[in-house]
Amino acid sequence: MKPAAAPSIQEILEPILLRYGGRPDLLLQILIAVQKKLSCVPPAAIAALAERLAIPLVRVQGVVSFYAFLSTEFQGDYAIYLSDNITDQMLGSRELAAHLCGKLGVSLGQVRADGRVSVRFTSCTGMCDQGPAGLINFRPVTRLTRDRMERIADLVNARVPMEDWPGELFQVETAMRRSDVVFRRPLKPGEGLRASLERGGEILSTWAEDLAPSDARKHHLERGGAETLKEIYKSGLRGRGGAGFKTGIKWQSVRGASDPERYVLCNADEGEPGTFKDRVLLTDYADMVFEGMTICGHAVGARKGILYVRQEYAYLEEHLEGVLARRREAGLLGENILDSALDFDIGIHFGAGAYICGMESAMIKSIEGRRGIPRQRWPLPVHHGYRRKPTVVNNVETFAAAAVISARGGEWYARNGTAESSGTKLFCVSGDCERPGIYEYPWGVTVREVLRDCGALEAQGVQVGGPSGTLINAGDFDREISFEDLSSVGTMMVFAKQRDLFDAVRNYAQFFRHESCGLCTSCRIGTTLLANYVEKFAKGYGSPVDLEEMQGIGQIMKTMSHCGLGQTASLHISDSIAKFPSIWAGRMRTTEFIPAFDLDGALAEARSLTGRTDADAHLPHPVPQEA
Amino acid sequence: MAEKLKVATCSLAGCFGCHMSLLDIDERLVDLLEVVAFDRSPIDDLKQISGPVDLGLIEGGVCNAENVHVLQEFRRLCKVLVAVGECGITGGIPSMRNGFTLKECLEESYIRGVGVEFAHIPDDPELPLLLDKVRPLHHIVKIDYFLPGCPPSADAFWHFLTARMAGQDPTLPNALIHFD
Repeated sequence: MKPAAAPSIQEILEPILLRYGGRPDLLLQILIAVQKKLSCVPPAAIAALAERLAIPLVRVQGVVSFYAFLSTEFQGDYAIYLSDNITDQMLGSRELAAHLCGKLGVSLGQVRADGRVSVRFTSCTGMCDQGPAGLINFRPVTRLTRDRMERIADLVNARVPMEDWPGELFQVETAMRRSDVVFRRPLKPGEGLRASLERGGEILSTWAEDLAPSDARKHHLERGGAETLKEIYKSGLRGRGGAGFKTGIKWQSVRGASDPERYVLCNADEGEPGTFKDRVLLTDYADMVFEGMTICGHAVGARKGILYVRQEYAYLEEHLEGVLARRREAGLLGENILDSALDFDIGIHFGAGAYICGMESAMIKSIEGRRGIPRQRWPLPVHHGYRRKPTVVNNVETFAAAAVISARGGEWYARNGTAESSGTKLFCVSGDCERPGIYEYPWGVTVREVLRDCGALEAQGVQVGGPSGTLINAGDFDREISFEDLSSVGTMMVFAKQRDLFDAVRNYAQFFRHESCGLCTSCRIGTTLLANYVEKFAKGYGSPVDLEEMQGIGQIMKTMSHCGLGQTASLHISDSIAKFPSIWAGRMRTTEFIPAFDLDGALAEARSLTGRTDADAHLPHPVPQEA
Repeated sequence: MAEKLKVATCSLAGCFGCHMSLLDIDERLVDLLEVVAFDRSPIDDLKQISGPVDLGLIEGGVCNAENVHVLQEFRRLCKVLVAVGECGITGGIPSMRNGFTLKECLEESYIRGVGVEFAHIPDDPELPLLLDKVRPLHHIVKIDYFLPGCPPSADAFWHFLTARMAGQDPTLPNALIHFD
């Protein structure tokens, strides 16, 4: 039987280009759509897009090669990505992956000969509280077990369309384990926004100029958002993405800009392994997040906001668009919000698998449809951000907090937390504990309290703030999570006594090697060198000389790297050497430097080519390989 | 006068260009010999290192079993060991074969090469076996200093040696490691 003629590349691209208005700045969104349609972006599509969008071929190729979820090679009808975070590994993900591959008859990282399926590992998919997890054709699967893997294999082998798969495989839980003053009584849609409009404040000069003196809407514009900005200042709110910059100062910088065109960007590229609060916020509290963005628009005089969501959470697209539509209908978004003169709308952009895009300037590049490579630190996005216009970039949780502050007041908010870290924080707890999940605490809570509440009684260490954060041992459990002491994006991965923390360090080293964007030498090469050294220790070839070398490399990365990724990508090495020296010492069989590879093995090929077996045809490895 | 600094040098998978550059310190060689005594080195043609020395300079990477033995001997006997030049530091030009298998390299030279007679891969036990990949020195032994350049300039050698002789930690000024 002759197969039906496959649609041509042009026929496939046409509706996608139409949907995105043929805009070259939406290149990434277009490529994601192509990838989802064809399970790859074939070279023919790259060429066609370059021509249709009138951009250089290399720019399209560059974007495709940058993002982990875009590929020129066909990924199979079912592209399976398994989350490879240490928390997944601790729940047996590696064994499960092997089991799945066995059942499917496919090798890891390759497409099955019939083109049906491929299985790969990917960086943390943000389901650490319900792992092992993964993505199948970009739909999340959670709580994977041998049984579930077998069911997945059966469905793939039987070629059941994704929409007919049992829904329970894709169930994602979002319930909070503990809520405090903010999430015990979440906002109703419009609550924060109404407060902001009623509070009003000095009119923005850039807006006033737009108005004819007779404009009937003028009086509404006197509600200029300045009072809300004062509340944000009073609240002491600091960015929740990890860096903790004062939100009020950031907003004020954009408000004070001379350019009337400004933007509000919400960073939901939650890539830090072990972090999943944004997923929960966007699922259950999307209104608060969008409301915070709208309030920001009011305060800084922006008319357009963009939510940038990591591809791992793209399954939320329909839900998020639904919330936006409902808000538009309710007059909370769009033109003349709540019958005021405020116009503000929000669009959604998706990432395509790149941790670096959580870095604000890389995220801006990504939204502009380019490779997500961080820009120079100066000028800052508040001066030259999206489209080189003044731009607020805040984390999902920051916007949710801003909405709450607008509704309940800055002073109320600042009553919680500590002097320098006001309010509450969402914690993502995973790893060895009885109750992994999201916990809301006021800042200043001690690690020990969190461990007690989540049922982690046997912890030997905690990775606070993800791999780029701080690894602590039991001696630090009484430290407080705050910007004054242990600052954190809110992530806590718990390791019980029986765990070998070397596995975690190895996982992080591989993670950073994979996620370095490659722009600056210290990070690109540093992350690779560190990962190689960790492998050397894994083989039992490590020595104190290597440990010293690793710390030297880490120091260079810390001081010489272009952005936060490289500056923090060696901390897990220095922390583990300081806090858990035994994981390194226990692997050293020698005090002298020895090669990282088997010297005699390096002669094997020459021996087989020459047929030599004499003594000179061998090189003893400096240390016997069996300890 | 203080005892002379004992220095040994050799070239492994290199081209001796670094040694030529060392000779380019010209008349300063005379000053150098006042304070330095060469042990094994192509400069005095001594083939074996006679005993412990203060400083070892090695150019070239590691491409065969003999290179490994020589390098390990240098490491054992040199208080301070220096990787000199591009090949010693990164493997350099010889490591361009690392993109191919050893089999492909040897067959290209000894089987399919232009004008090859009695085509066979040399297997004489006199010849050291080749490693599967050409390695920089620091993959095999601990290296204390890296003297970069292809070759390092005569001034870079001079700067390094005089700093060592003065008992200082040699740090090359930017002008000596800036190549374009």
